[in-house]
Amino acid sequence: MTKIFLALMLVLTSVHMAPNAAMAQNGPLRIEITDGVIEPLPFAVPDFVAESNGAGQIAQDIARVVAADLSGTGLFREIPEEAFISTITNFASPVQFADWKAINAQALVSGAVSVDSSGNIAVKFRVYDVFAGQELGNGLRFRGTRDGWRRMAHKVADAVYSRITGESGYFDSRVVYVSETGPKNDRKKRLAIMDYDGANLKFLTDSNNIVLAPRFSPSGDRVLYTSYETGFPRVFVLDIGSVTRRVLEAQSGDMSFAPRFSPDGQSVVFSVTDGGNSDIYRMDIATGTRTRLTSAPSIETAPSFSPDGSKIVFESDRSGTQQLYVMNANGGEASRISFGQGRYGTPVWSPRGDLIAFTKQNKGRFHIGVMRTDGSEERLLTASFLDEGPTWSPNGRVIMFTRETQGANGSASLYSVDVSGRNLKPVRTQGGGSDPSWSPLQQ
Amino acid sequence: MKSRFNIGHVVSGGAHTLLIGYVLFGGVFSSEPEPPVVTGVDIISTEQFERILNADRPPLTADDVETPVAPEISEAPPEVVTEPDPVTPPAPPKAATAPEPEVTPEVEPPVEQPVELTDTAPEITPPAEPDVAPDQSVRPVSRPVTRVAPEAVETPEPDVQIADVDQAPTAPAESETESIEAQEETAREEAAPEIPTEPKSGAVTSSIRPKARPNRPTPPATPAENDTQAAETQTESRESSVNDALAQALAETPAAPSGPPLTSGEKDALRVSVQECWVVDVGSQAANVTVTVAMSLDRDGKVVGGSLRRLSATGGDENAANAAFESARRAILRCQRGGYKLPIEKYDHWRDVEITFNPEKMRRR
Repeated sequence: MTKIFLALMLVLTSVHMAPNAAMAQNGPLRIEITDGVIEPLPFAVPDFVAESNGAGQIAQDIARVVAADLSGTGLFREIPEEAFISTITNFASPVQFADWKAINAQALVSGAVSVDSSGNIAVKFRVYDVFAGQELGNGLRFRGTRDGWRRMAHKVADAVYSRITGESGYFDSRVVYVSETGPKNDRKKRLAIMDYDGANLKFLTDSNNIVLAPRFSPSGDRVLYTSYETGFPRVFVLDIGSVTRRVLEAQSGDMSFAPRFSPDGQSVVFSVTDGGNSDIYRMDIATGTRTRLTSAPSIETAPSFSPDGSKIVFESDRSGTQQLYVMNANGGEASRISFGQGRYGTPVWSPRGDLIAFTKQNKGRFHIGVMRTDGSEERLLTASFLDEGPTWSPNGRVIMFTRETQGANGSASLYSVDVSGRNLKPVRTQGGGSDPSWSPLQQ
Repeated sequence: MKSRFNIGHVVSGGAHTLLIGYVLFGGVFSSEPEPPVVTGVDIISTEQFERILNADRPPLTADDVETPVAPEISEAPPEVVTEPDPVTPPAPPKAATAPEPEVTPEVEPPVEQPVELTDTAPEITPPAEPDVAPDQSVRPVSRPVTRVAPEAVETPEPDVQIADVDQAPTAPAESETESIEAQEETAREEAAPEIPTEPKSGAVTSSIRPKARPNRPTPPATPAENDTQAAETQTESRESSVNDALAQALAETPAAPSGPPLTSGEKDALRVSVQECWVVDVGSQAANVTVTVAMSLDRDGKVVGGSLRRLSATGGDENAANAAFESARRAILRCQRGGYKLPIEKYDHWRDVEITFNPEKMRRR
């Protein structure tokens, strides 16, 4: 009887205590963290190892371009070489993680370059998570001509960026834009193309005619642009490799503006002005068949496809002020997505598909902003006397645009800003520039 | 009583009589009064009185009121800054001329597709075990004796019968004809003079941490017992059930974390320590991912090697989830330094930790 009583007491006690124990802590200690820090991630890129004669300089140059690419994102901060405790002199040697931990390098990039007898180069690299003491992904090797060393460096940086952030990079890409020289009242404009960081500048047209709004094709091999060389604004398509161009359509009397490729590169959307009314058309490049997508008496222009090709965002003043609308890619009813104060224009769908970048004019100031594709969560990223014409980086992370300064001596130049609104900085160009269009990643 | 009353009256009457006599005849009221104080007064007119009142005030005359000066109005109209129309007007058409490209067709330097390196990343080979004598010899193991006796008794041979006294075995002599009853070898039961407890010296100061108790498996659902059978077997199984309950209660008690749990302040200290190193890239896809990581800590508060793992991730694709996990891992490993500062007496409560990294608030910054 005593045993039964004791057992009952124990059971009752355990039953009584169980909820308290559960309330106090049941299983592992659980905590939630909602606050972090927003700061660049420190990384180190020691000079790449030269594994053959004559590769020393190019090994250093490639390492510097990789470091500049990463630092330029604003997401990473390079640790200067002077702070290194040890360096890497042999690509096959183990990494002394303690030395890199000591200088707070969270990521480490090691690489090596070799030049073969025909002059081609090979670059290989590895990325390490220093505090975890392990490699991020596997090493990669690129081969190419010596002249293409910058592209190889950009490819290495893209891979490093991708392994750390989980997203694709944007360094091995190019930008086509309108190069501007001369005073405002006699400004010379011509198409130019360069690497995303301003290197390898080339001009695609001369400065005899005004050119506007160049747009890359999805494959990056062609450019659409508007030119006045025929007397009226016309859309041209230019092959970058051969620098040959042709008029997209030769229909007299119309003025066509704001062309943009569809994601599959098979068709083009643009606006046509006829008798004071502008509407959006879609044209099949191969057949030349033109389809009218809007038929409102208002001004509809600046169309841009969604990445999947199913929707088009455009600007229209059908409501009385310039606002953004979304419609199906084959036309039809459009729904308004911008409802804030001011005027909205030049919408561009993000390559990720999640955001739409736009230009906004409100209270005498211009802004570059982004919003969700349904118009929610509008955020303004910049503010100045004149910001306009956004274009997305291939990974949808950075926006490049035109900023023009005030006054008779004001000039236009290219700027870029992170989609978070941070890391606003000018883009290196030769002279002034406007109307940038960012290419996809090069193959 | 009456005489006392009379005596009181007599004394009181006498005293009062003396007091009245002193007042009347003692010269109390005979002193001379104080001489009066005389103040000189001038009679003035009403005008003079007004002048005195207004002596320290500014005179209220219309001439002395300060007239505000109107600001000068420039005749020049304010300068109006005219902002240029952001829309570039169409330029006048020009004669169509074929542009002469100033560049030659570019030839892209070929860059081949990348090839994955076949070898693996070099690793540092851990140094071999030092070939030196250990600092401490292996501690002798206490014999598992259960009996306590005044003097120690060695462990008897396994085939020896236990008895109260030691008895040597007898061997039959060949010459003897008399049969002697065979005496088996006996020995006293193994004993020790004291109950062996913790060693007094030479004890190790640390030991390998036992593995965390695995989560108790969910008991399978038992079908409802038949009421009749249950009633029949109730009596028989009562004692065994009680024994089971006893065993279960006694077995569970030592495994559960004992002592008070961590206070909010102690949890906050750990939270703050980690979040100081949690770098959030608010523009990335990983900033949409809430990731939960699990780890085990040793008694120094350092992460046990290999224990840091991803438990769950929501809000993004696999690449984003990986990036979010690696960011969380960097935060935990980078900020542990010499070990997270947690109360050692509550080690059972923080041996296993799960941290959820939720960047939603960061995205709104």
